[in-house]
Amino acid sequence: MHKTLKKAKIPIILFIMLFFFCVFIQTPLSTSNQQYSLPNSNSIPFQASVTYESGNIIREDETIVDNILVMSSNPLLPPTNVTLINCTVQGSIYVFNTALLNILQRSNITGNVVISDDSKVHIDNSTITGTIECRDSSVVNLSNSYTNSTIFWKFDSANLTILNSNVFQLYEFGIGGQIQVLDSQISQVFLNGISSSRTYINSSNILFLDDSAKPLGLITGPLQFNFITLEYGYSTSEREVNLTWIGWDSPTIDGYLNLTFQILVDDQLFTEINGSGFINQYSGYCIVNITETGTHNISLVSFDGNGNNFTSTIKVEIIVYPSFSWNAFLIVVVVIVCSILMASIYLHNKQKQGLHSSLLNIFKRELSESKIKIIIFIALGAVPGILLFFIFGMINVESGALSIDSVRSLVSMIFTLFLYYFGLAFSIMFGAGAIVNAKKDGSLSWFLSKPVRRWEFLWGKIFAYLVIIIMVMLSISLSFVLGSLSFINPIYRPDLFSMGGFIFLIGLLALIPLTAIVVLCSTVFKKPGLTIFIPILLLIALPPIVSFLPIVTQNEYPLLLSFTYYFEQLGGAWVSSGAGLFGSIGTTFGAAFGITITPLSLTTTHIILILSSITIICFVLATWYIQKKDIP
Amino acid sequence: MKEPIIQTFDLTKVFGRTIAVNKLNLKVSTGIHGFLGPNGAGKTTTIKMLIGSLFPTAGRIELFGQDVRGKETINIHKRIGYVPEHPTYFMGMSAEDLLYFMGSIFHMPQQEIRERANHLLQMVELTEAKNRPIVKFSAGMKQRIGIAQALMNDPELLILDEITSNLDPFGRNQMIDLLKDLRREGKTMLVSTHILPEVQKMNADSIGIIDHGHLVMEGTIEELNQRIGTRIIRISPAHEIFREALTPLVSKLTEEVDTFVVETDDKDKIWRTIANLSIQNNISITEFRSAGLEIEQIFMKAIESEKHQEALKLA
Repeated sequence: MHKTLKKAKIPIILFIMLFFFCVFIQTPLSTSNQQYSLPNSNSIPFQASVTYESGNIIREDETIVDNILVMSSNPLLPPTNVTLINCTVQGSIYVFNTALLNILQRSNITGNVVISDDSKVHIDNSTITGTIECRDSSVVNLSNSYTNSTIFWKFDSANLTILNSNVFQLYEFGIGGQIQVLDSQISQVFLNGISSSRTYINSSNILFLDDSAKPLGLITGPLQFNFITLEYGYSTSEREVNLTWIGWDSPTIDGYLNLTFQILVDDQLFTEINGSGFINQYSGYCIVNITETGTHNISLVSFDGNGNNFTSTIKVEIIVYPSFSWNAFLIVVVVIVCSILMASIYLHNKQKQGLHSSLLNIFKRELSESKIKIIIFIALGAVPGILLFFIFGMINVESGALSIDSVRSLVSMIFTLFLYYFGLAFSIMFGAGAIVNAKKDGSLSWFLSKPVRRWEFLWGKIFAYLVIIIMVMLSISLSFVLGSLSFINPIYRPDLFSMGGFIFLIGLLALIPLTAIVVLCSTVFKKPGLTIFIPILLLIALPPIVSFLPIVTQNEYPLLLSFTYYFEQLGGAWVSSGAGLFGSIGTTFGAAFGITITPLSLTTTHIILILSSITIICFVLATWYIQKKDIP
Repeated sequence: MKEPIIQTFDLTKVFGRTIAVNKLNLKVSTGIHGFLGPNGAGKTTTIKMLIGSLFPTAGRIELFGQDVRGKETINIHKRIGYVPEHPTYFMGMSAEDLLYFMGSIFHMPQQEIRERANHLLQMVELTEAKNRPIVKFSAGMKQRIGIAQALMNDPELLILDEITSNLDPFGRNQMIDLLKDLRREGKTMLVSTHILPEVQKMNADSIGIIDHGHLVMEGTIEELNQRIGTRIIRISPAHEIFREALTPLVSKLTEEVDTFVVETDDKDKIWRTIANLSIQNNISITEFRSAGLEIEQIFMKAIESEKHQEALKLA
């Protein structure tokens, strides 16, 4: 039993987590659904006590305490016609069987009015405190009536006219008929029927309109337009925002409405487009070019011939892709090459004076000994590019030339994931055995009997690894660029080259510190197994564990322990804003449980400084250790 | 006396709570110096301190009269060659590449590297296998390429750590002949081994015996014999009268064909006793030959010496 429980522990925990997750997801949805649905069960029950079944009845200046039922009991006779003038009805009124009811001249109905069976009700200059429910093919005309509490329900094919009145809520569940609102004010309108039940609102003030009418997602209410773009979202780094919209006009105009759409960018007119439509559906398409970075408001304003307008606004974040500073890069390369040349000349001169250094020999030997490994790693580096070539090739056939965002998101995902395993393999193959193997098999102590300084042995290897890292990263970044180049829209080519530059830089910033850590371990540890364990710990084991700690600490500081966090963040800044495999787990889960996690505000400069510091500290410690400690 | 090439002053190495080398004062001049000791005596630790891979806990080492941890370390290393017990050179390299690489480490001109490498490959009989990776070499070949790489810089001092331990008898003889040739070339060699007859075969000019990190004895074989004092005397004929007289006087008495072989610390007393007995009993002595101890016997005597045991106890 105990064993069974033990075995089932993980599924049980997962189930509980899933349960709470579902509860969490469902709770706000169910709350939000309540305000949109008004089931028919809310209909007012029949409670008549005064009944008018035939003839013309006029009640004037009376107060009626009971409920009133108005109905035409004999279909062969003219319908029952009841008129209430300046009356107060404390109960509810029910109007059935083609009956007629007029509520006129300051009448006040404190209860509800229910109309059905082709009956007609005219309410003028009166107040209805309760609910007016219209069913079947009944007709209700409300004019000059002002109450803040009147609620209209329209069912079936009832017809409703609201003229110069003030109504609190209007619910529409019809399958036909129509609602006409003119010169009125309604606080909330909920349209839930199908499209053949029409609603016309003109010169009125609607404070809130919700249109859930079928077909869902298409009818957005009178003169209300939503943007539907073909892109992944509105937050984009693209310089082009593709806007596509579909809207439905007010059915007060039978036929084609002369609509004009204005596209405003930050309240400045970008362009004006004449509406084109099919019956009363209007759609449009526009490409908005934005050159300035930052958040912009793009508004679509639709005007009809009567001067009605409806505005829909979206926020678009334009993140211009950071351009890789090739000039700075070239300057750094030139400086490094010049430094190496000067150092070589200096060493050469010193050698002439009899001072020898074996650094270069060890460096060359390490490169020559690692020839095959280097070729393998350079070939491995090209794999993602080849993969992308085929993926983008397929997407290209479907969607045409790719935008930089399409490339970036996939490149970022593949690059980040690739860097985990590539970094792991690289550090194990190159850094891990650097010193520890030579110590273990005794070749280091033998080699130190030669005129070789200890630090020369270490740094000869380190320089070789740095050169290998540069070669391999060149292969990786070139493969990413070449894999995407043929399929990208030519306007984004400079961005693609920038991306290649950043991939190169991120690779260096990931692999060099990692190699430094592993070289330090290789120098200090006596067993190769321990040294191999370190990159596994740093890249595979630690990041997922550390990523959950912010839930406990309620801030993201533990993420600093995760080595991968740094290059995920750099990827997020330079390749794609969606980067970050483990860095965001804590925040996401924390949010799921209502825990607010204080984010780390690290800039790319901070990250570069941290990684550089790790590199320098590790190399200095490794040098100190090899200089001062015994080599067994 | 010539200036010692290797000299240590109270050289001490401690690993944790273990004293591997204890106040070792070693002096090596030209020729072959046998550095003897049982396994774990501290030979390899001493050698690793000589080549600079281990740092002494206390004491000092001078090679060619200069401190190995001073400013001249690199220059000292240019004058030495070292062959480790387990040959673990850059195994992926071929024999020729290794020698070329060693030449470049010593910053020799390319022409000189080529000539020297060819000469050494010929000398260690590896010309045929020069392009084969070292990892594919037999134990004997690895030791020979080890000698070749150590000689690449034409060193004045060769430090050889148990170089024959992994070799077959044929390989050992080859190696010993090679060392003898090198001695003729004027090289100084510190040969660490626990296989004592080999040192004898090499005709080592001097030996140092180390045990538990202590230098028990040091000097030429003759000097050690004198210090130990024990002589082997062969006496013929093997007469019973001689046996009766010698038995209480010697530490060991064995009989070979009509000859007594005795071990004694007082050769003169034995001679007087035998001479008197031969005169009194009219026995004609056909052989009375005194010789020093074999190296193995010296080693055993040294290790078992009372003085040394006392020193160990004190340590």
